[in-house]
Amino acid sequence: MSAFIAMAWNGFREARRNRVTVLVGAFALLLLFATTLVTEVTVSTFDRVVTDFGLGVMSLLLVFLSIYLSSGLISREIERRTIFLMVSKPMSRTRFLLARLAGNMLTLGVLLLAMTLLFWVELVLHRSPITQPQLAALWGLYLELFVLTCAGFLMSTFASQLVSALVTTGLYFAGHLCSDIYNLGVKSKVELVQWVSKATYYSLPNLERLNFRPRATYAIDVTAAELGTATLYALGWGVFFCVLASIVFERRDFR
Amino acid sequence: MLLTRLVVLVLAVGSIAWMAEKPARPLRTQDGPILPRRELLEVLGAAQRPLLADFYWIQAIQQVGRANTAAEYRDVFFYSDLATDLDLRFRYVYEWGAISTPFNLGREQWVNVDLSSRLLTKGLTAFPDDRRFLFQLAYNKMAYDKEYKIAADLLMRLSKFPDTPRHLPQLATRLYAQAGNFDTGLQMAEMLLESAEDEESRAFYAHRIKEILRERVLTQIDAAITAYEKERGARPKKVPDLVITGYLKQMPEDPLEGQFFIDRHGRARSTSGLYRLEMYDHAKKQELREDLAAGGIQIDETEDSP
Repeated sequence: MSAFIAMAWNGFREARRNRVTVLVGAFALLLLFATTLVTEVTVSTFDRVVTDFGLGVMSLLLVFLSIYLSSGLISREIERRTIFLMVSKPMSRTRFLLARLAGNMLTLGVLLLAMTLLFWVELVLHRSPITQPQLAALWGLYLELFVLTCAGFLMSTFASQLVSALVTTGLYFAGHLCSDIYNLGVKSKVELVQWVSKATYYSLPNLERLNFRPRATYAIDVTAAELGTATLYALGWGVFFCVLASIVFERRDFR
Repeated sequence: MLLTRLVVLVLAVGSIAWMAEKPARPLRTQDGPILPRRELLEVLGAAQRPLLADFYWIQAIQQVGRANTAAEYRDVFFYSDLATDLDLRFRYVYEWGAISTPFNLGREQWVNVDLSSRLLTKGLTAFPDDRRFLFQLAYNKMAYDKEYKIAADLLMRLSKFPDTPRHLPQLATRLYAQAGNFDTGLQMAEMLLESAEDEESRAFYAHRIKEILRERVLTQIDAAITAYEKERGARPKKVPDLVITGYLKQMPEDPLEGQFFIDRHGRARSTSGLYRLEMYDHAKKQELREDLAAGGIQIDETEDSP
C-alpha cells in the first residue's frame, strides 16, 4: 500500500512540476479575480454572474487540464521508456495504473480546492451567499473530472497523447450532448433510428447528470438522492474505464 | 549585434504602438449584430450554458451603454434574445431587454416595440404567470401598437391575480370599447359588476356599462357622419341632420342621459361626458383642451328636437 501511496504522491509532484499545471492554476486564479470586473459591468444579477463565472472558469480549465494530464500520462511514460523501470518492479501493472490515476485526481483535487477557496473569498467579498447547489456543483465537477481522467487513462494505454486528448475531448462534448441525441432519436418514426439513438445514449457517460452548475445559477437545492446517484453513476463509469485500461495495459507488450 | 536587436525591438514596439487603436465596435449587418448561431453555442457550450447566457447578457448591457440610434437599441434585442435562448429561465433579461429596446424617434414616435413585445411574449412562455411581463406587454400593445383588444385580454388575465390594482379591469373594459369590441367589453363589465365586493366598484361598473353603450352609439353616429360627408361632400352640422337625411334611423338616445352633438373635427360627442371611451394620451388631451377653448365642444340648443 505504501508503494501505491508513494507512486500517487509522485504523480502529484510530477504534475505539480509540470509547467502546464502551474500555468493553468495561475490562469484560473487570475480569471477568478477577473470575475470582479465582470460584476462591474452587469446590473442586478451579481450573485448569478459571480456564481456562473466562478464555476464556469473552474470547470473549463480543470476539464482542459484533466484531459491534458490523463491523456499524456501513460503514453509519455511509454515514449520516454520510463515505463520499463516501472514494469520491472514487483508490482502489478494495474496497481501502477491506479496509483497514477490517484496522483492525477489528487492534483486536480488540490487545484479545485484552491480555486474553491478563492471562489468563496470572492462570494464573501461580493456579499453573495455560499449555497448548497454551489457545493453540489463543485462535487459534480470533481466527479466529471474523474470520469474524464479515467477515459483519458484508458485511451493513453494504447494510443498516442494527441489521439487520447482528441478522443477524450470528443467524449466531453458527447457526454454533455448525449441527452439531445436520445431526445431527437425518440422523436423519429423510424424504429432503427430510435434504437441507435438510445444505444448511443446509454453507451456514453451522460456528463449532464454530474452538471449541477445550472442549479447553482438559480440556487435550486440538489437532493442527497440526486448527489448519491450521480456519484454512483460517475464511479461506475470511472471503474468501467479503469478495468478496460488495466486489461489493455496488462496485455500490452512494451518490447 | 546587440544594437541591431535593440533597434529591431524598438521598431517593433513602435510599430505596435503606432498601429494600436481602440477596440472596434461589434460587427453588424443591416439586420443586426453578427452573433453565433444558437445551435452552435448549444453544442460547443453544452456544459457551460449559464456562463454563455451570462456573457450575452453582459453584451446586452454593454450595447445599451454604446447605443445612440434606433438600430443600435434594436441590437439590444438580439443579445437578449440569444441570452434567453441559451437560458430560457433567465427572467431578468426578458424584462430588461424589453424595456431597453424601444426607441423614441421624437414626438412620441416609438420604434423597436415589436421586438420588445416579442421578447415579452417569449418570456411569457417560460413564465406564464409573470405579472410584470403581462403588464409590460399590455402596455406595449396599448400605448405603442394600438392593439387594444390584445391589451385588454392581457389586462383581464392580469386582473385575475390576487391583490392586483382594481383599475386594471376598469382599464380593460375601456380598451375593449376602444377596440370596437363592445360586446366583450359589456360582458366583462357585467361580470365585474356581479363580482364587485363594494358599493364603489358596483357603481363604477354600472356607470361603465352605460359608457360602453354610449360609446357604441357614438361610433354609429361617427360612421353616419363619415357616410354623409362622403356622399354629400360636406359635414353635417347637427345629429338630427343625420336622422332627417336617413343616415340614422332614429334620434339616438344617450344611456347617460346626455345630448349628442358633432364637434368641430366632425366627431360625435355627448354632453354626458366630454371624454369618449378611448385612450387619451398627452396630445389628445391637449387637443380636447383646445377644442374646449375654441368652443368646438358645446351643446347645440337645437339638439333637443329630433
